[in-house]
Amino acid sequence: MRFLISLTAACLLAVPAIAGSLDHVPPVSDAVVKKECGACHLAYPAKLLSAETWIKITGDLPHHFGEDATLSAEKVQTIQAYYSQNAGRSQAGLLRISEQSWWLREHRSVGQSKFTAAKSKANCQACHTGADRGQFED
Amino acid sequence: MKLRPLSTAVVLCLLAIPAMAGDPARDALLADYAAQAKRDDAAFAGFSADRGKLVYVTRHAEAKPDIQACAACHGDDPTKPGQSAKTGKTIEPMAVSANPKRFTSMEDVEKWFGRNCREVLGHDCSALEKGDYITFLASR
Repeated sequence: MRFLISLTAACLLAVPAIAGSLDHVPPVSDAVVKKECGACHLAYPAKLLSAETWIKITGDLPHHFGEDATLSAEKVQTIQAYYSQNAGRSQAGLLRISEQSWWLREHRSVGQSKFTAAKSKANCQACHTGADRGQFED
Repeated sequence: MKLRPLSTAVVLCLLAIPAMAGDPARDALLADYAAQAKRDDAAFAGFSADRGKLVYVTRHAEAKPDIQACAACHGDDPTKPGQSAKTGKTIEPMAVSANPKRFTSMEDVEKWFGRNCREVLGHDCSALEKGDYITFLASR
């Protein structure tokens, strides 16, 4: 009986870890990152890109995917530190989360009309209403 | 009976205070811009909501197609939420009546003028443009 309980507990504990890979990602916990990065788009969870990629992105905010996202050197430092310390893994050379192969796979059956309504692939919350809490289930 | 006009006047004044008094942080911010505007031009005689409205609505054909005016993202009616032309994210209203937090942090205000004046107007905004713009949106 004890073995069965342990097994059940182990299974229950394992579920969020497995499902968590894509459906739940820890949301940004730093107030500066949440405010500054979340001003124009979702403050993307750190786990979605590698430290190397985060450093590249946050190192050139005046040319941020075609936009001027200039911030003070002090803020940039805070944001860079947060993202590199909490980063995950991603494909080298691909700066956009929406270029990563897992992202393309997850969105392959999403029709064009949904992307058009969302206006941009950066607008996660248009479909994933819990995105700011790290919830990305369909 | 004699006192009635006086007491009415007092009551009216008291009622008017919350409507007239701005946020102290916004007042200080405007005073800063006014001092700069005066330094830029000795003939500076105060900010104008009408000029600020022009800053808000004027289209700049040389800017990127989807961001040719402040109103392109912030909306023709600043009391309503806007939407980022680039990311689709909702932007809280610019009008102070609808969003009292607006223009109460110099750091935030300078950050946004710094980014958006260059991208939309094609130049760094002057203190006069900034003060007029805030005065317009504080009046809405």
